[in-house]
Amino acid sequence: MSSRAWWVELWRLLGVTLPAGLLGFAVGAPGWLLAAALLLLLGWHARQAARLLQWLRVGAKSNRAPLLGGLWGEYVEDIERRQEWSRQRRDRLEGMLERFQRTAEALPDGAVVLGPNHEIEWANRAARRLLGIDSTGDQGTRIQNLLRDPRVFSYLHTEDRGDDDSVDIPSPMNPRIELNVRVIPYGEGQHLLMARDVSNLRRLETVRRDFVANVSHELRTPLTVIRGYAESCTDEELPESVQDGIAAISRQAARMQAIVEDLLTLSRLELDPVDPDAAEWVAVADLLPGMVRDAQSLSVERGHELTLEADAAIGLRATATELNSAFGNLINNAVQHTPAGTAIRVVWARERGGAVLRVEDDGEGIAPEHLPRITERFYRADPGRSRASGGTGLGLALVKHAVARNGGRLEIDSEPGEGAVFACHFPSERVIDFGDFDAESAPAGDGAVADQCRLRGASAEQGADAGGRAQELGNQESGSNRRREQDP
Amino acid sequence: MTERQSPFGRHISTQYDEELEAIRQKLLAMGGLVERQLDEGLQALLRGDSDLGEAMVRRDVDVNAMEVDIDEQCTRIIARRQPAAGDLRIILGMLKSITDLERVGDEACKLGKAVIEPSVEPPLDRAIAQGVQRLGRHVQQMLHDALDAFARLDTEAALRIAREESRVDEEYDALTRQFVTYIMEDPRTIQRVLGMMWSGRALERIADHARNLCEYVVYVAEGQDIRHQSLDAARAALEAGSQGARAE
Repeated sequence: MSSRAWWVELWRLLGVTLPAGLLGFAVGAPGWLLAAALLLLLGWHARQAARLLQWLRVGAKSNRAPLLGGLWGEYVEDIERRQEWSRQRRDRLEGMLERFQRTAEALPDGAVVLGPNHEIEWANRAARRLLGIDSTGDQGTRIQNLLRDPRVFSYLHTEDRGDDDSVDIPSPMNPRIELNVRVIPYGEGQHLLMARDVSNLRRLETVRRDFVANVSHELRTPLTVIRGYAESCTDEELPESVQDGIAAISRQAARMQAIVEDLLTLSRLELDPVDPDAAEWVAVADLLPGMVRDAQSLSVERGHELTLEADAAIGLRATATELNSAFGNLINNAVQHTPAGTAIRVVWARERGGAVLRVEDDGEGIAPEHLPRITERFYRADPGRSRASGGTGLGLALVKHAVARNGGRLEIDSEPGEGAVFACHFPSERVIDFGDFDAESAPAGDGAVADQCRLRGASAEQGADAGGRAQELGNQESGSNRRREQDP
Repeated sequence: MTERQSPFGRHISTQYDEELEAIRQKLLAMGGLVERQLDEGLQALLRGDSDLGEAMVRRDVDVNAMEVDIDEQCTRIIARRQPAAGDLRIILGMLKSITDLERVGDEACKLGKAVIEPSVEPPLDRAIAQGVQRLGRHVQQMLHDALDAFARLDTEAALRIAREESRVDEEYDALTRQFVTYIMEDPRTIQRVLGMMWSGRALERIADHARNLCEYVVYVAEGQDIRHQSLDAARAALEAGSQGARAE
């Protein structure tokens, strides 16, 4: 095409210069006539260029395109074609954008696009209903000025929010609606604020928790009565079959009681708000020997080998009762769910970024498909076994909640056939290193820390040979247990 | 998207804008805190939850601290920038607003205090509680909308909300009459009903402060002082003012 235009221009040049040259020869002044012809041609080109420029300046509208010849006409056509192409592209993009916006509009959750200073750039319909933000009227207003709840303010000004972090506030439009608000950063300084109506979810959760708590509470008294009567029915004159039956009633009632107690503990862990004042410095190394002893007595004749390695120099800021129930359950869990003779190691040690309590065993391990669900209530990896071993099915759920309430997290690692490791990791802000403390430099008034510093020598010693001693103590305990069983 | 001209964004010195916007943000954060105080005070009162009441009364120092902080920043900006016209109105409007917000905080505390004081009285009568709850919700909504109007400098909304105040007054009067019938029927309820009456009074005062906030919004946005005027007169004055401006 361009070559055709080139030929047209060449012919035009020839068509002007050739006659002019010939005529010039005829009149005897070829140079002048040639110059005049070229001047004319140059003038024509300049005129065409000027018209093209003028057309471009007024916006290059296709209905006002100038009729230009030769190469200049090609220019006009080319520009028009490009314009047509970009108009189509723009339409397509606009259509896409509109579809996109319509999709975002239709979202049931409130979505607000925020700029670098949290100023509102765009909001969908649900944002108007849930947050009272008007997409057009409120553009440029900072979101904190409309969502004034102090919780949102501190949430927005927290650096370094985790991925799951969000804040629950009542909707500014209707205090009965509970909103879950989270802000997701993206792009350059952009943020997306999502507000989800979670009132129904919260209501359901509350109903469920209340239900479990109430049912457990209501079951407690009848169970105590049943168990009490069953245990007092030990008349030796009764036929053997009846005695067996009563023993079974007593055993099962005890089991149900254990379940009810666990359920109550669990619902308390769930329902009670975390009270930061209840946390104190706990010398974990002092707690563990007792738990190991209890677990050993639970093992009775199955002969688990329990060893304890506890670093007495590390303390944890936590609620002591909750730690007791978490760690105790974890160790008992290891005893209950491993075959006889399994070696179980309990380790309390420093790790990078905090401290960890590990309970390791060399038992059968846990199949990978059970791992994600094992902390659910009443989840049984092996339907037959754990009931026989006397678990309530709530132990790990308790551990998970209790550990989480004290700032930690439970991690379970296992390969079938290679044992399992249950680890409670605690972050460094919860951990204190008594080793860094001298009794003098301990803050005045913090009696617990000073006390524990004084205790350090004793408990370190205890930690060092705790394995052997725990073993010993455990054996004693199981021995006495056996004696008790023999004594009617 | 269209750029909206914010009344706070028309200075060549962007730092000045930043300072003004920062103060406004603080003011609205204070408003948010006060809103929450009112909410918790009301909840504590209606549920008879003395722990919640105590917690919210303790938080009043935060409200006071914010008032002092904003006051100081406003003073500083006046001294340093010597604002005129619209900027001066914004700063003066904010200075007046924090006083009202602080008072709202104090009134909200009265609700919380009403449950802390040791009382051996039987729990509230349902009908009384419902009356106070209705009034409380109305006042909460009014305060919320007034702060929204401040955030948007929305004169229309401000005038509409200011009108609500008389409705709150009517509601309060109705509640008072209801309380009087209770007292007449059974004088033993006097103490309890009086306690509720004071809480209702506190709520009615909060509505007054919310109306003041609305008046400051009009003052900041339009430069018209509509205090101590009937709202119809205020609207007429505003319309005349804007028409005058158009004629010029």
